[in-house]
Amino acid sequence: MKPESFQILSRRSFMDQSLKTALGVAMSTLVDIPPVIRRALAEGDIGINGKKILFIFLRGANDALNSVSPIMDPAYFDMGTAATPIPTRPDIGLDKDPAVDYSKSGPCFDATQMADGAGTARGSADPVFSYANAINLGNGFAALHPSLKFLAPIYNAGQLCLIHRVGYPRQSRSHFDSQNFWETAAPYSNTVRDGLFYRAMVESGLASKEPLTGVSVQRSLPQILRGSQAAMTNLTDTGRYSLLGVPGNTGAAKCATFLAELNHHPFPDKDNREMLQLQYDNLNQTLGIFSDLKPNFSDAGNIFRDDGVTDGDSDWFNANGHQGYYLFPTKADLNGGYVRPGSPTTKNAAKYVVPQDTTSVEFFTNLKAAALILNKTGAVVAGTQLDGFDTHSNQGSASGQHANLQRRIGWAMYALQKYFTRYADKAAWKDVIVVTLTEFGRTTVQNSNGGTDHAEAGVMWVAGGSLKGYNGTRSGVLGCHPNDAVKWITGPPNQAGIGDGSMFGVADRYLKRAFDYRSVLGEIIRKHLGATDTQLKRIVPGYADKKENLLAGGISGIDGTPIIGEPGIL
Amino acid sequence: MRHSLALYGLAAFLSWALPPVQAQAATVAITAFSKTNHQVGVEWSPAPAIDSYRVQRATSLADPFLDDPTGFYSDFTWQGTNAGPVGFYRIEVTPLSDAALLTANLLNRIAYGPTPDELDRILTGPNPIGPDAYITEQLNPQSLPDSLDSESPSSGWTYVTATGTATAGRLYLYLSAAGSVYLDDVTVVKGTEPETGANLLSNGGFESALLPKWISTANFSTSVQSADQAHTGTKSLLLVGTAAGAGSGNALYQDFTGFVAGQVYTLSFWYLPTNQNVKLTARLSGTDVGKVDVALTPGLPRITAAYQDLVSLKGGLGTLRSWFVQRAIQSPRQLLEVMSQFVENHFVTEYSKSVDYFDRFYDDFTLMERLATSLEFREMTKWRAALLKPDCTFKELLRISAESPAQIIYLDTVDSRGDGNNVANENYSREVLELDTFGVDNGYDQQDIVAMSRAWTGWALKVVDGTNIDNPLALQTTNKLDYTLTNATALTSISNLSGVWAFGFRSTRHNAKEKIIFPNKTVPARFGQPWAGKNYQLKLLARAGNDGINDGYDVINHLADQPFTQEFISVKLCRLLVHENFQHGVYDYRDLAALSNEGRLVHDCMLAWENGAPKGQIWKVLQVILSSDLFRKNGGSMQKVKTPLEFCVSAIRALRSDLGKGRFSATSDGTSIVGTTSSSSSSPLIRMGVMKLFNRVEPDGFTEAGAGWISGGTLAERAHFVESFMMSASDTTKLDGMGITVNANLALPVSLLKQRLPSAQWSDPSAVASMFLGLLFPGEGAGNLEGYRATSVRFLDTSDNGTAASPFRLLDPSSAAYDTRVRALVALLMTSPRFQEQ
Repeated sequence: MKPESFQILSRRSFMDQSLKTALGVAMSTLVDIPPVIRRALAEGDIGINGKKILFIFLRGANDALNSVSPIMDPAYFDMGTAATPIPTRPDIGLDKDPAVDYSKSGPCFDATQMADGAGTARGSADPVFSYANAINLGNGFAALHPSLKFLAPIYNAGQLCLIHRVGYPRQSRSHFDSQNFWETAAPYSNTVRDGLFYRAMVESGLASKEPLTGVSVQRSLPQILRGSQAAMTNLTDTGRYSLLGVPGNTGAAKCATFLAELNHHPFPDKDNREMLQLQYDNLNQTLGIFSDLKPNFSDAGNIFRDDGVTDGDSDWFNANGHQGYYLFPTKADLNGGYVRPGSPTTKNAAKYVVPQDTTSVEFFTNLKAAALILNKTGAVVAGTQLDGFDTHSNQGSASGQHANLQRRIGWAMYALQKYFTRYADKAAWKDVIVVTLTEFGRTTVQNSNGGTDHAEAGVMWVAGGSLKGYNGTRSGVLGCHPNDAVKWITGPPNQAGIGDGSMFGVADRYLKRAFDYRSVLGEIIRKHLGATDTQLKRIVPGYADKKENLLAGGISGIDGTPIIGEPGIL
Repeated sequence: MRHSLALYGLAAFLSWALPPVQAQAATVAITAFSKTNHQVGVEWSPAPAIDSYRVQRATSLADPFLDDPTGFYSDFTWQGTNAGPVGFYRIEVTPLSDAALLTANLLNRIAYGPTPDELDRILTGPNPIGPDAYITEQLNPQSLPDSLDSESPSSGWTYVTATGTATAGRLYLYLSAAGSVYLDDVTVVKGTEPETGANLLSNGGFESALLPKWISTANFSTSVQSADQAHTGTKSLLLVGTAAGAGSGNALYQDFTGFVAGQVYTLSFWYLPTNQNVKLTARLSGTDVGKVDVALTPGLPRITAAYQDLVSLKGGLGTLRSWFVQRAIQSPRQLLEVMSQFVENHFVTEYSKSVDYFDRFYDDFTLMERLATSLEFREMTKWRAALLKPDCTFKELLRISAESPAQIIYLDTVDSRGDGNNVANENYSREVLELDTFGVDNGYDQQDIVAMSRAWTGWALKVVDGTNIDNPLALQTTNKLDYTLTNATALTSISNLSGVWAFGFRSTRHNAKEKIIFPNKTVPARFGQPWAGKNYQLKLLARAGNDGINDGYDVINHLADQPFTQEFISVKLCRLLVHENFQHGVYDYRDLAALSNEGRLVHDCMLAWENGAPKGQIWKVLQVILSSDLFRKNGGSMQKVKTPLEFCVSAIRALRSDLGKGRFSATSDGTSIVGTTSSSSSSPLIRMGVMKLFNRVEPDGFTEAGAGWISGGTLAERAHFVESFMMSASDTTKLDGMGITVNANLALPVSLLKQRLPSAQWSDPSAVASMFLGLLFPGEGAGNLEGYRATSVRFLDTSDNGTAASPFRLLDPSSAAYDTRVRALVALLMTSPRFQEQ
């Protein structure tokens, strides 16, 4: 069957028809799509139902098997036979807690409440990351990396879904191709070059009339927000979103005025000129908005705190006005329980909730800004990224490089849940979905450098107040159980009568996918943002192609792999 | 070259278009024509590179068309006067000359942006060499003299100037300790231009006795008029200090005439360095403004000093970056500089990963930083040496990268093992195919990556004697730093070895088995002849011991000239020099007539690559691109967005003219662009989008695609950079949190203006605006810049608060207000969308 046609009105062609003739007269209207077009686009509820998305791109490809580990799959530990064992991940694999039965169902073990799996109560003097074994997720099969322990309370509240075995047909193992495919939501497409959330914002009808719809806070505007028809916004440094002017600061106003004027002079068409013009206009329109938010962007305005005892640290809670840790650790003193109660000069580095380094400072500064923007402005999508997941060497296991990266994810989810619950203004936790993206998973088997190489399926974290996560009977873990609609097959590759185990389902060394990432993002865009089916097909082009089976699942018509379809988390 | 493009009749509303007489500017067309209340309006669509658009009118078609002086132009529209004459109308278009367009393209692409002097030398000066001669010289960099790395300390008389707003009218001269120095031709003038206007000092040439004008006090009372040395005339001042001076009461001084508080003054003088370890200070009383300190032991010029530090392993990453970016600003071999960055960025490595590697062996962070820097500098030095050869091949560049310790560390080959049950690390194998040679999804698959990853096992590092720096089979050095250590572990520890870190093959880690890469794969039909159908399987037989190193060399030799590599590298060079929209893996070269201009240019590059002897000569491929219409015409004009590096360097260069006496109208110490240390997180290049030179985390290199660099946040940072660059040296806000102690990005736009414009035009806002527009946007054409010119004139006629009128012609060209107004205009233009393009 031929795919239904996918086309978004290109701003360029639209300009050719209707605006070029009036160029000299009204260049200021260039960023405005005329009302008739705006109305035609503004079907569905995107942008008007108050629902928002916060995305975090984990660049470099996260090792999914050490995030949500198939702890009951013997091949996670050894892929050989009894006679000739071949340890799968001898240096990097997680250890089971001998006191825990991972096959039993129930809530996720919450190490923020207890010291160990046996349930021994912890004192608040214990360091933050004292639990070093695989955390029982309670679905009878999977376990969580101990560095992600702050996910447990969100998981048990039913507000977190861990979706495993996520990929796409003909998985690219190139970082750059695969990041592009995730961000455009169109693998191997030569025609779709703009970003997924950009298209969602265009479909909202707001992108061309509101200065802020899709926002990123990082070093450059990511592909997921790029497109030629309207400008999405990117902040590189929340404290410096301004013009300086000459001389000194007194010329800034003059510069802004005249810059806006310069930007509206027409010029002959060149490759990057429309993009530049839209971004300059966006800069001009958002200068004031970000200037208003500046007090809270700064460290001095970083006042947001947990409302309850954090990580069992009741000493800190009692000594600090009965509030828990700061939510956004943008400096050492705001990082967990580092500053000990009683004396501000007593410090305990074991109480950091995330590693105290420039990566954490930058990430949580950006994350805080993204959260503030969603909460304080009309922006519908905001996000940032976390780099460094390309762990080809010395990845570490319960601690180390990969564990440190994951600590930031775990704490970020926890902090966002608290922030949008306690400090809700324009966005409450029930209105927000936090989603992580990463380009692929990593090899099942470790390499000679104690690291992992590029592979296939990975894991997505999805959190939000209105998710259908764990509820006592339903699990919040999807795609990591032998009873899944597409079964997790345990064991090594090439088993007689069984075939490859899931971890070896592609080329005997890659985790085979059971979900398509477009189904996960598609469900969020459809059910949370409120896109109509017609819109969804324009935002995620694969939905228009029935043989892709992105909605209800089935056999992928592209490569014959059985997939589950939308995960049903909303 | 003039031609009419469109003709519209009013009386009968006849309209038709004349065929264009020149292919270059085919797209100007009248898009609207109106007559409302006896007022005629014409609108047209602009075309690239147009010098002027003029509306002409003829009363009837039999009459000649003449310029209609009655109308008003604005942004490609023209409005006649109310109830003015009517008739038939056409647009007369004067395109930029081919030479002007090509010159602009060359300076924007094979150089780091135009400079006023280079524009003059190629195009606008008295004896222009023309753009094709520029291409020839740049394609042969070895023929261009370049002594930037090997200059001597300045000797002889040296010129110094300083400008500032004075609060008192006394000039002090003193030394920081006991010593002496000759000075001559001391001047203080009103305004910002040295020696322009009357010298307010008397006896500044010291041809007369010091007294009565020059008063010496305290430690300087033995200063004398001297006949031993003179810059001009026959005498000079020998300033002698018996101990440190301090200004008031302890200096040589003179009160100058006609002092007005708050006025801008400019000091200048010549001095003869004496190699004494003291500092000469010249300043006005009551203020540090206009203060200048001169070390009397002259240092090396900055680029040479940085180079020497790097060669002697004393330089850190900040030194390397500063050297590199200053060369980009000043080098006469501009294309070599552009290609150096291209090659560095293509075979990208990450300095920090080398630091981490050395952290296994050492505790001294400075040592680790210098070692890591030396690896980056070593590969850069090798690439530049290779590029200086006229027949430099891609294979050579690839081999330098593969053998570079920085690369071996960066993509994890350093620890990869293929012996026994070890699974070889795939990182380098993948990226060498995806990013260095074939291009993603172009002629290889995962099996090839896995097979090739085994070939690289054993490519590691060793500490060897200096003489073995390029011998990967050499044994570890036996030279110890300290034999007195008695502890056996300390004696055998790598940290106690004295030698150099170099590529060293470790045969025990090598996978010695046979490997077949690209098994029976053939070149796809789309490549056409002479490539299509060829089998490019690479079979590496089992190799034992040190012979295993040849697996890697066989791979390099095999990959370097495959059609996939030819295509991918050609595409990347075209993206660098022409525009972003070239693709690899898609063009079908069998039917050239059906192929796009872009596809055909890539094919021409591949033919030059294939047919050369040896194959893969970089300069031959570049010549093809520079000879193409795509590059020489509008396809290569202002289609690209400058990277942060290109943006910063081009901003300095745009204003950098030789003012004589060793002065330039724009300078940078490099550091103020790249930051001082490896961890400078607030340097301009980092702030504009994390352009960490020599230290990129991701292996794909910094992008040539404009959308990757442009967002509100990065544009704000670009504005911060040019605005602080354009502030005068004494402006307290000039620092702008860029993580540097002194912002030494300095510009003298008024000096440039006064050098290039006759004094009668100094107060003419239109002439001033046009001059800067011409320097900043030489490929655009004055016709297309008309809107920018109109805005610039209004900007010059508006006060600094942005609202009140303040006619530019009323500003004294030697006043601080004039200086600021001009600085602000240049800042505005460099902040504009058009200056982000090249």
